[in-house]
Amino acid sequence: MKTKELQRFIQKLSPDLYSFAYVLIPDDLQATQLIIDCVQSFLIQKTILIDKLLQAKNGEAQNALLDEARLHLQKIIFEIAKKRYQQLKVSFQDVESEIGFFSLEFEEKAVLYLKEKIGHDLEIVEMITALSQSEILANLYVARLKMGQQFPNQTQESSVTPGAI
Amino acid sequence: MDVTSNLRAHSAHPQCIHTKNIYSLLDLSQSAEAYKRLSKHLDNCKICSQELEKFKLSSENSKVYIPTIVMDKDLKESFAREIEDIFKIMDLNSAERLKKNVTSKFKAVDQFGLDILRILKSKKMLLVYLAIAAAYIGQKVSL
Repeated sequence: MKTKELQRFIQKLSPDLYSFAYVLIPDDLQATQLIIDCVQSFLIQKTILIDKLLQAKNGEAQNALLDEARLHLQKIIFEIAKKRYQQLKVSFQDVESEIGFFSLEFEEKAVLYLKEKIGHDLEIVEMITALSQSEILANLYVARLKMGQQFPNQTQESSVTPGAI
Repeated sequence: MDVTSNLRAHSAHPQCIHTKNIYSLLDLSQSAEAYKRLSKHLDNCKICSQELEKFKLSSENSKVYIPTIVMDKDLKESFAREIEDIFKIMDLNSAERLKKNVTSKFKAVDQFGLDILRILKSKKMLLVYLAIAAAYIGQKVSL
């Protein structure tokens, strides 16, 4: 794989990374900065994985490495967001006081999004969030319960454009 | 009703002690030991099976409210530019890396040549040259 291809791969991932970042830090500027910092941190931290990617030929091995890279990027987003959320918490009060998904706790939002929206297995959610399986299960249960209470028997696809909240 | 009271309401069903664990069936992998144990229990327990169905339905309904955040075109383009800059700074470009490698190897060869020259010009080497010359002259004279 060439460097340009790796660059394009990360650029292509940007909508997914941004969506996850915004779920954790509901502010468009902060979410954008978060994914930029995430990519920088990935390129510094994961040099072995990057070298393997740059040496990989096309095929299954390369795809597996790209999947691994995607998970690492999500993990870094979660790690950085967790720290920033504590510092910026006050500025999200308006968004979080509304009903719905954004009113959930930080970890509840993260696990629910990773499990239901991205469709990760419990083991992968465990790897990304560094929470134990029982913590993840508890967060999922509470998150679903809260969501179920807020939206009883209504169905409508939800998509958010930053700034619309 | 808030979450705590709802949790209490859920756990208030006194009929089966396993109901509080049954919700994990939605997330555990089917090969997990706990999954096998709970699903076996579910086959025999109507209360848990009804409770799970109810919870599954409510979860399915609320799933659509998990948002997908849309990144607008400008943001996508600015992100692409940022990534390009980061890659430049990180010096991951293979052509750049090759250039750097070649330059550093040339520098090493240059340095090696300079070191040899310095040794050849040193005082010790001058003594060696003199000794060789003296030996050569001595040999010629004896002949």
